[in-house]
Amino acid sequence: MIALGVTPSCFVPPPCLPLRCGRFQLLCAPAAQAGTPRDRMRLHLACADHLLTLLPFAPALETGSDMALSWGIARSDGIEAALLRLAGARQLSLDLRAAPDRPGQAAAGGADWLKRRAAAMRQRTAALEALRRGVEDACAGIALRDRRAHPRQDGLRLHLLFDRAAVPAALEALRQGLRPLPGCTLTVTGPWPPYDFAGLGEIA
Amino acid sequence: MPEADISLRFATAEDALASPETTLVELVDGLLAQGVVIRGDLWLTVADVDLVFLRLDLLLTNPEALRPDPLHPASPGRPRLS
Repeated sequence: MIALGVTPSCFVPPPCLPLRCGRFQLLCAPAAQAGTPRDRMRLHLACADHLLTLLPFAPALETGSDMALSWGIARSDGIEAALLRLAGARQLSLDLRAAPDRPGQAAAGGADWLKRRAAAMRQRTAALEALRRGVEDACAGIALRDRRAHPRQDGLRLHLLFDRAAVPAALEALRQGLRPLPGCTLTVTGPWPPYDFAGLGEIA
Repeated sequence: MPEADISLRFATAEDALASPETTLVELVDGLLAQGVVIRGDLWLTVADVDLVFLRLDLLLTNPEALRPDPLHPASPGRPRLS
């Protein structure tokens, strides 16, 4: 059996099974159905439809149920705190990208090329910042529980945590509130289980 | 429509997981490594291709416990329980 996460609920959809682990349930699935990281992520999504609260294990990890049970019993206080913190939470994950820094073909020498490249980088940074502000403005009326931003070479990855019930309103607010910016792309995905917010605040 | 022309789009988690499109694959791969990490074997994958294998063994201890004990220099790194 592969452990997929922890939940307070005893009722989980098949093929998943609950294993009692102290004051909560360890969500498990047969290895045949949870053999790859994407299989485990699919099972997380199926369970997230049925369960209000889910503390997901990283899908990239194949964690045996025996190891997870020992871990869960030894860290029941930390897990319980995480379950309370993430009760009913879902995340939206946004990929913000700006056009690559291209100083242009018509540069008159090296210094001019560097100058143009610096200007292109400033423009790109400003565009990403405007896009990020646009996202936050669009969600201003929705109760945002938490956020995480991960800068990337070509943009920014933004994770927003909402109540499950607030996700449709958040998606609609983003649809209505965001305006395309020239040279920028924004991809909104979700709702996901709260992968980016599931740390226990310690080395687990 | 070419991918570069799409400036704003939405995808459900299920659609993102099933999509072969580069941005969505990268986004999903980024999420695969997130979540609670216990201990075990970690495969880093991109687009379902296994690239790196890591065996994680974490030692939980006070850093002080890993320093040589000045009273017992012959036993460097001996964990102290007090």
